[in-house]
Amino acid sequence: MGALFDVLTDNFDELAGGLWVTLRLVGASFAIALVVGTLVAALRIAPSKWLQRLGGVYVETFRNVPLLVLLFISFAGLRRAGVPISNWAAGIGSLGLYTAAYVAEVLRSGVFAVSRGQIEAALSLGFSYGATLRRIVLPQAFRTVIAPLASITIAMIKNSAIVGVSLLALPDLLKEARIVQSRTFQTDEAFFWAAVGYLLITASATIAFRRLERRFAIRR
Amino acid sequence: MANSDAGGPLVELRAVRKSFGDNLVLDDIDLAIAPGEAVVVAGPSGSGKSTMLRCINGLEEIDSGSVRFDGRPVDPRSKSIGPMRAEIGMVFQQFNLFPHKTVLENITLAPVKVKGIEPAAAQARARELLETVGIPEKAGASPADLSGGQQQRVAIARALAMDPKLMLFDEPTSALDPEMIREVLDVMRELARGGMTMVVVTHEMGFAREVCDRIVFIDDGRIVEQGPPAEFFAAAKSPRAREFVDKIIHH
Amino acid sequence: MGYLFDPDNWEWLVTANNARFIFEGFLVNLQLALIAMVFALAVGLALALARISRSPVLRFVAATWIDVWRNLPLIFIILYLALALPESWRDAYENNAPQLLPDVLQTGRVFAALLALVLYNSAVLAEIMRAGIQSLDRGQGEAAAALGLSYRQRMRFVILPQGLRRMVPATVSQLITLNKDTTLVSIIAIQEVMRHGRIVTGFNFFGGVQAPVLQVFIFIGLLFVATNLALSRLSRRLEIRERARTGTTVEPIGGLEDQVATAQAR
Repeated sequence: MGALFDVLTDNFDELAGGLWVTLRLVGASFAIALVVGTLVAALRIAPSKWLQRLGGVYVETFRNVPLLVLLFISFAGLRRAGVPISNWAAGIGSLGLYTAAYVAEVLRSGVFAVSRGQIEAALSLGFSYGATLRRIVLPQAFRTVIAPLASITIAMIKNSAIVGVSLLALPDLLKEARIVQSRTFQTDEAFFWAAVGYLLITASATIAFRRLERRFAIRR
Repeated sequence: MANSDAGGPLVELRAVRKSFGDNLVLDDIDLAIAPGEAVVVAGPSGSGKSTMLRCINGLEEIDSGSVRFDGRPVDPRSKSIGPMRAEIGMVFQQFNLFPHKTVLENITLAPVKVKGIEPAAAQARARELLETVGIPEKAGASPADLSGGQQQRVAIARALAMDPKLMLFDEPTSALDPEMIREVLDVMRELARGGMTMVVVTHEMGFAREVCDRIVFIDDGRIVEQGPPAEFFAAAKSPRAREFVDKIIHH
Repeated sequence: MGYLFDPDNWEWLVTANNARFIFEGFLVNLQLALIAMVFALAVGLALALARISRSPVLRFVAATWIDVWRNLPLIFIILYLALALPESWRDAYENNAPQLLPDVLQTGRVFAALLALVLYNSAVLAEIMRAGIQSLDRGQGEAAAALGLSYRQRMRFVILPQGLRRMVPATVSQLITLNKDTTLVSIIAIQEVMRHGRIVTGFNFFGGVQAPVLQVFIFIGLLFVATNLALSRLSRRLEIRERARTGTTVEPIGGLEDQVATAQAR
């Protein structure tokens, strides 16, 4: 038992630094995923067939390609092609664009989950189409979207661990745990603390989303 | 041995209490049902009628008191509950047919798996029962292809296939369109005429007046009044029951 | 853009054995995914049954086990097992791996990879199955109980056939995720498509044209997109057929990352 805590105290700076890198990576990627995901969702429900198709191609591509392949393309691939992309940019960009495909699908199905009756009721009350979308559809869509967004976020936190061990070598939590392991050979201990770190992050995200859900819950 | 042969009640509830959380749904229920008797349980919605019915075959666990079937205690936690339920047929408001099985498979499942009857014999019996409930041509159909009334008749056939000593009906026509109610009630009337012991929770007072031997009126988890239907409808003693009857007659 | 579509940069695809080498690697990924899926389904069902069993102790243990494994990053589990598994286990796998597996999949390292994939995916699938079972109408179990069927019989003849059918689309989505996840085993030096891709982009491998990284990995990415698209089409068709068969609007059960895939199937 003593060894377990020694590993934590002896390597606290590395592990805490790794946790911080993971948090920044996740935060920045999440922002990109939300912005790009919203844009792609807008394409998917746009009035033009071509725009819809464009959004569809984005979703199908980024959802079906392995994240590791994206990381190879965006870092080693672009660099060999002469684009001086940094490892942070490649990592955040890949994780963000990958997750955006899932966000887009969730947003789209959220909008469709708002019943026709709601829209017709709003229009019959004299709301304009824009006002209906803004005041009736989107607020309801947002609420139904919270739960699936939570599971996407959890998945993204876990996926962030791929960034550090790939060629990009960002010093995130898993990477740091591996460094500690290779120096101390205390595999169980090093990985135990990394696991605690990841479970802490996913648990806090779950709790945060649950709060959000409770605040915006609709009684039906 | 079968208590019924000795002239005792087939079902006996004594001082049964049951609550869901803080909500007391059954408050000191005493009830005995003799073999061959057809009893209708009536009362306002939420009065505890269905819960009482579900205590008889152990789908609900009681908090205190005792439930006996055919002289044996009904205990949902004991191993004996399976074989005991096999002797008690139940028909639900929502039919609860198994959607992944055909009509015939719905009827033969329990006879084959619980009683160990040969599949061929079980099928022959199932076809007979479908004949009795008036839809012999639907044996190979999927429940989803049947109307509500047909589904409920299959559900009755499914229960009868176990040769039960007692049939429980939990609002069997409440989920049906008006034009299908009659076809289900007709089947139930025939059953009662044939001497089946039945406990029926229903709002169909026409059926109660015409078919049953006794009406048990429940309000707020208590048995307020019981007696032969003619008496109940003509001169209910308690104010609650009179109010209930008045509402139905003026309906 | 000029660089991306410059024919010179795609010449590698037709020279030497590059394309074939990539395909061979990709086949390893597909095999890994299939093997892991079979085991994960079996283990996942056992976990799901434990998760909804009548024993509170068993329920608690199963719930904890499932929650830990499915909330850890898969790459974390892979790395940890690769480092921590006793030598003897790996040797045992190497000596007993079925001969019909390709040579790459008979090495001891693969055992850690497979174990990790099964641990993670069985936990995810157990949750999907639990949701599928518990989404069934209560009346189904009650009707079966009222007929006298025992707990086991109820599960076997009434609950599981319906619950498991509901999770087919979610399982296919999970297979897609699993398919993508097999690339992670390249981190522990298993020779699959990512490794083959890197070899091809190394200097003058096979004596042909040196392949540019960007194009090679775009090609590999397209292989995954094509395979996974085919899988999701299949899933959609299965779901539509199922809905037509039971005549009900069955709510499909979503898996973790791919909850969206089912939403999309409407």
